[in-house]
Amino acid sequence: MGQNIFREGTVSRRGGIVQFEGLEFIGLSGIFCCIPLIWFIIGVLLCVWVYRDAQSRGMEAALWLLIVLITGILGLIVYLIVREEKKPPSSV
Amino acid sequence: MPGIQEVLIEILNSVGGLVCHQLPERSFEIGGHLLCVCARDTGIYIGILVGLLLVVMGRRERSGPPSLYLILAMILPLILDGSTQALGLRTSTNQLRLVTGLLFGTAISPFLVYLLPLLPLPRRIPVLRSIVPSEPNLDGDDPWLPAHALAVGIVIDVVLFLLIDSLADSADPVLYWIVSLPIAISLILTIFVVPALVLVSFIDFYRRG
Repeated sequence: MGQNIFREGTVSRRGGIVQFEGLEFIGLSGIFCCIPLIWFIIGVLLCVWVYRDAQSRGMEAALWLLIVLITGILGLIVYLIVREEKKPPSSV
Repeated sequence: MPGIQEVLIEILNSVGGLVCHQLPERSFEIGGHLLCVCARDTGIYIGILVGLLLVVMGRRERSGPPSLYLILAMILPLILDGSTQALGLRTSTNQLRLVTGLLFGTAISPFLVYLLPLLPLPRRIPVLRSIVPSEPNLDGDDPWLPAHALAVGIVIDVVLFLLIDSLADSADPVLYWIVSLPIAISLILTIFVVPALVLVSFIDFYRRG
């Protein structure tokens, strides 16, 4: 058997959790923490876009914001299918 | 010292562990090793690559999104399969997880590629510039990616499903790497390249005002 490359107390893939020392050594653990944050920011920006777009079309913007927030990409696709025609700018 | 193969497998498992529960009973074992992600994620990540291959069938001069109804039809099976299981109404199988994952990944990646030009940066990146629609219009009726391209994707998914399912529990370690390589490429794209691209894009956008 080879040398144990895992830290004390961690279990291997078959146990569900792996913490490979090498990845932490080269500083990737910090990057890994950022990834969910970046996807979260993308999700928030997506919701903001849906809110503004729904508002510009006279739809229930808050409702669609909530739907896309909860359902993600599924909500976005449904929104794009059901959204109404953009209202032309009203002339005074 | 552990062999290079063991180290690579552990790195793969570490990266897979970032996005997947890696439950052994929900993962395929090929060539004596469990894949680095579960059956559903195996489908999703390989499906993402299939979807990216379909992008070459896109027509840049067209502006409309890929068929949203077809995309919805392709992602719904996974959502139904996953949600009914999560609610405790039924238990899925690895075969069902794999095939619904493949359809989901194949549908979602061209859609996300279509949305990329909405960000300011991708239009300036040479490879992406030659792929993404020049003027995306979510209201457009002329789909950038024709429906038959997604149909080709479905056929590829069925073939891949039969192939991966037939490889499950096989003993040849080479087969593990044949299946793991596309998963690894897709994982790197999804959890490193795309977020980095989006982040740089926004930084660039706000820096320019």
